Amino acid sequence: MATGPNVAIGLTVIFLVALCCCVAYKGKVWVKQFAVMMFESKKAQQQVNQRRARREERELAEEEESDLSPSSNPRGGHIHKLRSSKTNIKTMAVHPAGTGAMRAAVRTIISSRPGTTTTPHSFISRPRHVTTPTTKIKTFCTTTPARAPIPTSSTSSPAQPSDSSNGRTTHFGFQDGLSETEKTERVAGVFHSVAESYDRMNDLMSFGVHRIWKDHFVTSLNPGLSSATPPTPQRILDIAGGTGDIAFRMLHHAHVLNHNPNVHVTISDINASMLAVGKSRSQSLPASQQAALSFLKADATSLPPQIPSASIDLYTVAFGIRNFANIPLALREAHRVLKPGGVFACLEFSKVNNFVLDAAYKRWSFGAIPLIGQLVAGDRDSYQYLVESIERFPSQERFRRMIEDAGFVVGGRGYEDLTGGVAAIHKGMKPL
Amino acid sequence: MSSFRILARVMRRNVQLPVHDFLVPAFFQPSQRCMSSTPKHNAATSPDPSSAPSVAKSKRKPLTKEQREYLSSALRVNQAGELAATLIYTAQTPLLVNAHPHLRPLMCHMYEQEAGHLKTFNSLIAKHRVRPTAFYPVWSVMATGLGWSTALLGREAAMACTEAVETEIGEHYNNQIRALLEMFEQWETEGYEVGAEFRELISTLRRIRDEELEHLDHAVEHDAKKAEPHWLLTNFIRAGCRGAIWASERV
Amino acid sequence: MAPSRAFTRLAALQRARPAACRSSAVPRAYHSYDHPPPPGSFNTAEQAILSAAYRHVPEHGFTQHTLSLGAREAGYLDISTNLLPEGPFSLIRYHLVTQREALAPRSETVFGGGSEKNPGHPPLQVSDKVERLAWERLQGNKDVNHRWQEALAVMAQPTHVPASLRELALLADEIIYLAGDASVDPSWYAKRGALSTVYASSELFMTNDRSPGFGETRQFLRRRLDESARVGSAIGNVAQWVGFTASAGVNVLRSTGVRI
Repeated sequence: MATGPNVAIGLTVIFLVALCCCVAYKGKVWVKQFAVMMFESKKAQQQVNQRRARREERELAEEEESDLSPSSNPRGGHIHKLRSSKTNIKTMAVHPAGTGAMRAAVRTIISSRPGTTTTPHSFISRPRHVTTPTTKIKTFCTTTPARAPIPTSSTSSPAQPSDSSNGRTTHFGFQDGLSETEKTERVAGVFHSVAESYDRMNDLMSFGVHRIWKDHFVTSLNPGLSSATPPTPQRILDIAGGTGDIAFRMLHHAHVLNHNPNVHVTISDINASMLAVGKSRSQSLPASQQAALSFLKADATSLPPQIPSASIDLYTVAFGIRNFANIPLALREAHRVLKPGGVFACLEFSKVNNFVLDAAYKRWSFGAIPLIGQLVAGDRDSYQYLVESIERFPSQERFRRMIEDAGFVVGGRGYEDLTGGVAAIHKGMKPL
Repeated sequence: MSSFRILARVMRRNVQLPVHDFLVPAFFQPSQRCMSSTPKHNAATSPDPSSAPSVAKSKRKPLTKEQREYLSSALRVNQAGELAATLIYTAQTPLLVNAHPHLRPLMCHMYEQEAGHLKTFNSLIAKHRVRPTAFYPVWSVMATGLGWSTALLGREAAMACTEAVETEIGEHYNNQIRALLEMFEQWETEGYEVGAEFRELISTLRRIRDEELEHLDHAVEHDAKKAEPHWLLTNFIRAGCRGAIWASERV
Repeated sequence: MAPSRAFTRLAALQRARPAACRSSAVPRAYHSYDHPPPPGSFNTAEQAILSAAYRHVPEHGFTQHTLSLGAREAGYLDISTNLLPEGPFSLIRYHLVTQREALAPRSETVFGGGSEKNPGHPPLQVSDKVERLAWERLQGNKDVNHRWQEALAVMAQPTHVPASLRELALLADEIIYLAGDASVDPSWYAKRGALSTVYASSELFMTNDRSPGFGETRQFLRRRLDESARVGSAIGNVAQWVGFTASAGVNVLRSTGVRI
């Protein structure tokens, strides 16, 4: 942890070199196998599609129209959900048609999937429960909305509030008939078991840069700074901060650097297991910081009465807001709990604004990240989802407008690009 | 069939985002705040430029950043164009008049009109605090060279040069007038009025465009089409004009 | 010690000057007399925090602490300073912008002060007006002069250099515009570039000036402006001579019957 970025960068370089060597030796075979896999899946997909084409034609046409402006349309999310459920049906139909030897392992997992009662959670099977599609139809799932948990540990959990709050669970996911609590439990279990590997994956995928971003995020917020003596107390709410990445940095910054022991941080996450990870990690903190830390299991779109209105100085959400089912609602909730003059701060993946960097970034994210996910974490789809959900997140300008629409005031241009826009920090202040 | 449709949809979706990415940063360059300082009479009333003057002139909408940038680049490129035209005629006149004394009044007339246009745009640029093009010296040299070399080629070539330049400039003015009219229309539908400043600007542009097209007619009357090779000459010059316009709009 | 540091900063500023001239392309946009001006640099909340904090600058400098004081004074929280994305640099920019915008309303009195002394005097030359306006602007630094070296250090940070140079370019443009210069040829760039250089060096000189009323700074400013005017006129003379000789040569050739 302490030498995080260096270790991460070193590991990544070693890994990439190893990957290059492997590709150089075995590349041909791999490419062939990959091509076979893709080709067969496409063929199977086409067959299924032809069979279902007539039945679904009208619906598809409707969806196409709505797809052109998915997020400007308030009903967009709903339609996406409908579609994703449909694609899931297709997926299941595809499996019998598939014949590739490569898919044998996948198929065993898939076949176990429809079972609603018993679910042996192997490490590999995890994403298949929460992220919808299989490899074969991943292109069709690119627009599946922000419900895929993404491997950033602190962000994963808020994916589900929509399921429980809007009651669309029955129409979503391939596990029809699964009760909400059961599903939540499963996902929670899976998250707990893989949280550590997520951290490793984050380092690999971002070359350790995500640590730099988080450090910069906290430094730029400068929590705990106070011009008064004794320093004024501050209450910080870290949403989707399950593993405490941001919260621990905040505490360190406020207590150690700004000498303000009156800063209290509440880590909020919808997922109890993620909070448990954060709790166990917090054991290594100094006692004074542990005392200034509390945990809260809550849905970001409707915070519980423990957080009264106008009680929070700083509301942070790092790599989490992308997965909220209803971002505007969460923003309004943030506006509610913040004191007048309080600050909303969000660290999130965003749009790269340099086209050279963008091309490289797209190639890396769509090409390499799913591959790394497949090789290291043993599952491709969730990482495919990661990059797709990033792609779907609104641009800096649009997200700034959303923040303004929720009633915040933004200063300057309202956001700061990190690494050329791969991530961006948005800040808004609740006016007096 | 349907798989094709789905593929097309997927492609469209995948294509859509990079295009969006590509457009958005160009459209919003928020780091650069365009701050034209307030004019004297406004600033004198209040140091805060945002509040005070809008009360007095609520019937007119503040120009957006894009509009102001468009107007700046329009005035800048017009000045550069008129400068080039003046220099072309200056360079052509001695040679042409030497060989064909009967052209003296025509050249004189056209030169004077162009000089008037240049003066108009010079004063507009100074008044509206628009930056002149940084390629000013480059355009000066190139325009003089163009005028001189076409005049060396003979009367027809010189007239073909006028024809090409004026065609391009006429089109350019037409585009500007169209854009301004669109702007007016938008204001009027939103319930704002169009100020005298802009009415004057558009009438100036119209007058100048008509005079430029008149030069075009003169050039054609004086055997511009007989230049050899006419297509090569005019197309080459027109391409050059378009390049110069493109560059002057930006720098 | 201090001067050497100051000079490296100046050198950094001067090296980057061509970039400033280029970037000034963007801010200088169409200025309408009919339409209300576009919104200012700072919104209301920013304005409130900054104007409250600005009063503490002489005591606490251009720092985060000052901003925090200002925020509390304006009724905001300590954390509210996050509204200002650039932190202390926002405060510096606030100083630059307000001082620049204050020039226009004062310009009449600045020019009027000269004709009072000798009524019936012919109107001021553009160069005199430029000198007076630049001096007026330098006097705006009087209250924060002892903090200005810190500010220059912040402005010279790589992330803030573009914005600082843009402000410098805007200031030069404002001064030359207010002085009534209407040149629209390449001298537009030359004048603004020269004034920016002179102004930046004078500002730097001023930070080390301990003379009463900054009289030495004014002398320095005058000398630099005279120098740049001399260089300008020398270049102009050479250009004129070259142009005259060239056209004379062409006319001589034409008179001998060469068809050029």
